[in-house]
Amino acid sequence: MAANAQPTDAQPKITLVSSDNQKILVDRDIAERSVLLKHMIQDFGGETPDQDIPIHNVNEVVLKKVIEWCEHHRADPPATAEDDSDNRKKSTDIEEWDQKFMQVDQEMLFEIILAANYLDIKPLLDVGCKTVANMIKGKSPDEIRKTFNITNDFTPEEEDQIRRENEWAEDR
Amino acid sequence: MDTDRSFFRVVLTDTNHAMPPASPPSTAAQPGAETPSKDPPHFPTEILEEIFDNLPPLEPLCKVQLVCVRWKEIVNTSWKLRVKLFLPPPELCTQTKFLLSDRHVNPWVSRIFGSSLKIFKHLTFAPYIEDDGGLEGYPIIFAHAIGSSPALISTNASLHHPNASWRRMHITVPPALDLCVYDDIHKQQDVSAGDNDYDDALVHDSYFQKRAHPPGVVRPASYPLPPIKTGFLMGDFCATRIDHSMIVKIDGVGGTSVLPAANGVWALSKRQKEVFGVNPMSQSGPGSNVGLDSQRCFGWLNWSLRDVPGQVH
Repeated sequence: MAANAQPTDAQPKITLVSSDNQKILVDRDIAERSVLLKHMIQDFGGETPDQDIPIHNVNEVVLKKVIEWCEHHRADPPATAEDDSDNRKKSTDIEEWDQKFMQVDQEMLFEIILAANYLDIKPLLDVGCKTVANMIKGKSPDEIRKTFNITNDFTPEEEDQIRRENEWAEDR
Repeated sequence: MDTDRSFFRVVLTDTNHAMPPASPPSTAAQPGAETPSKDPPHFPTEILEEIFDNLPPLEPLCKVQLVCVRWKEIVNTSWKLRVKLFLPPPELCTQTKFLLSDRHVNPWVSRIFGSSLKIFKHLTFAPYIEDDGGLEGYPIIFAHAIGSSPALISTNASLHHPNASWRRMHITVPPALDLCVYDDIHKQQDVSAGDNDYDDALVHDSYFQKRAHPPGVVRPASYPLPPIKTGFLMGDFCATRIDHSMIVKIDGVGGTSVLPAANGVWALSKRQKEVFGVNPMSQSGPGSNVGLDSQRCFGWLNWSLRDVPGQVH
């Protein structure tokens, strides 16, 4: 932590290795947007590790995309662990840059969410979840299934029962 | 009326820390946990839960649930989503403290009962044992609906469905202990007058007796109030855990019947039978008198305190 007060050009760099074995060099403070990486770096005794850090679950394309997000948000105040849980998730508002960032195909969007989950980048995970929520919002169950290519595995009776029990809520 | 919010520090259930073991808080560093495929049906549970949590609160209930079995399971087992929907928590959890404010009044049920629903938050000392062994009190919350709600009378069939999910909802979070609906506004008066008596009345077991004979009210002979001792109910939930959310409908004419809170569970304990003085099961079977079709229904009680410590007497 103490070593962070250096000018940007002197930022210590960290080499990440994607699941498809591509090396990506990033500034340490950008890597530390990921709580997972932050903890790994702390395990090196706070020194900037000079060895490569493998990211097993994320391929190069996705990792680069995630790093792009981290770079744009490098100046954001770090999220506190618990206190923000109430303020945070109340709306599906997404800031403009993030909206554009999330304009990717579905598979990429899901990859980003999974990567954010794996790397423990809570704000990015939130943006991803909100984006998917916006895709669900206002749609009928059938439209949701079509959007995400989900098979309806209810029996007609089960489906009918759930529908009847919750019909009252539909126009509320 | 006593509206000092600072009193409403409630110890009932743990909203923050008692996630069901099936979905532990997201620990990102779980590379080997499950290898999720790329589509949302196979997203880890906690991610889908987070996504659903970002939707307008009723959408998980009437839309998401219907998508597929897995999504339904997630809605039904998620602590977060159920609390948001005023549904009883998916499993017994430990107590916690949380603040009661207006946003904890169920907006949908309030709308169903319309302007006739009045929520009285009232601090009454009902002891529980704290984690550290100390003795504390928590407020009792009453919700009264006086008069018929236009919405109740409405012909909206979906609202009247015997298993409509709103019937499983709490009126308030933490749950209201008591919701009474009177439909005969001409003969019944608002009996909430004399709020200041609540505390004593409850403690002295006589709240309902008082209510049975509120000053200036002429009760029609055909509507005798059943002999309910609220104080006893309090004693009951303090002494024993009530494991099921239940809605008790007090039928003015035919005695007492119990509405199954969920999946036909008839949850009236022996002691509650004593309270009501009848065995509701023998009076009416499941399905009879259920629902709001009978506008004669003039009393509802809803209590579902799941997690009141059992040791207190």
